[in-house]
Amino acid sequence: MMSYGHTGTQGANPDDGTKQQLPLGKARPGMWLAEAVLDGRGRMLLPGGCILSQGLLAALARRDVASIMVRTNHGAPALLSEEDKERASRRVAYLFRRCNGDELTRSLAEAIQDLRTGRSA
Amino acid sequence: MTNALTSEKLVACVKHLPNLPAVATALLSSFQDENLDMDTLARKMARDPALAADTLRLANSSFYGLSGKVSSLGEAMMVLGLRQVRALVVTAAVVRILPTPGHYFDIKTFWRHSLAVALCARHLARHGREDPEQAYLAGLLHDIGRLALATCFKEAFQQAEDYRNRHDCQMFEAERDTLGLDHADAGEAITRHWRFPARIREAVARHHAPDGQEADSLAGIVHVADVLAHALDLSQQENDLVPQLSTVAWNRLGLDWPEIAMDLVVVEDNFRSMIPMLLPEAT
Repeated sequence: MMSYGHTGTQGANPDDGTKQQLPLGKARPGMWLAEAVLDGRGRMLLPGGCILSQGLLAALARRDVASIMVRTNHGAPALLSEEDKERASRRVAYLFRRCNGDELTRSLAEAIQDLRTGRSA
Repeated sequence: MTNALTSEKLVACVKHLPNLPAVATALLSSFQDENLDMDTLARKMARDPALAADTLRLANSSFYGLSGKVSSLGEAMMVLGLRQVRALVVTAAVVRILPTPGHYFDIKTFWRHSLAVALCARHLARHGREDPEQAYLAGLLHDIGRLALATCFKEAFQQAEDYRNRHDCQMFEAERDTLGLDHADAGEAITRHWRFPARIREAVARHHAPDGQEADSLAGIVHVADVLAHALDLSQQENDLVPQLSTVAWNRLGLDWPEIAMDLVVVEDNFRSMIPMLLPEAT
């Protein structure tokens, strides 16, 4: 693992080995997907283990995905910790440190913030 | 600019780099040949058993969903198809024959970034209705000029790296300011020397300046893939810096952020499956 706080789909994971099915409307950014989501032809839309973000939930809704399997901890959906969110957010801000003046690149930075932390910059 | 390089020096440099294995060169020239058949590829591969073994290792990576399931290239072609196997053969050949310049060049970071760009480019090509395997190879090789510069011009390369670290700028800017040309120029020279298809050469040469290229150029796809790979932070370079995204190249792909977010998560998953097979000693 990287030493400077990367929080990709393999970040710190408060998983106790349990999972539960949630209607997509009840899923929230920052939850962990427990199983891959496939489309009607069996093609993988999202791999198991990734952190759900606003953008990913929107993309699943667009494809009419009705429910997903999320990881749980002590009976409730597991969530990315605030500490991990902060670390990931600082790393994204550092990577994009020279892009402040460009609107499109700033939009990408916001999309990556959402992906890493479940929230926009 | 004490270490200015000329294009003549570049050409002389790439001529001293190893040649690609014959089978890889033949496969590259076959990109326009829709009639290339599995028997022909298998016969070519039989002449280079080490390359065939490396290709099989890649084919068996979990990325391809075949972990441990194929024992011959014939089987791999049956499952993956000719086009994907062709891209894997060239991947294995390039990674195997290219030199490691020395301790001053972080080869692990280099190939991690290259693979990340290749996988992003493959996804983007599907949206743009381009050939995913050509886009993948163009992505894999987009920074090959950096390796050539580091191999042939150690002092000049180190001077450019020092400049980049002092000014916190993009590497191509540091190279232009210190050497008078950049790794895209060197990449163009090396892919010409290796007789890569013109579309891949163009993508390597123009990935930092895609706006003037034709709408169906792979340069735009590789440019966007390069920016996305930096944004995903897959290279593990501590002082990595995301380049500015070209509006022209981005708009040509017609993507929106939710779509690209889903692609990026799948790319990361692909990357984690494939990198141990590509660089088993470096992960």
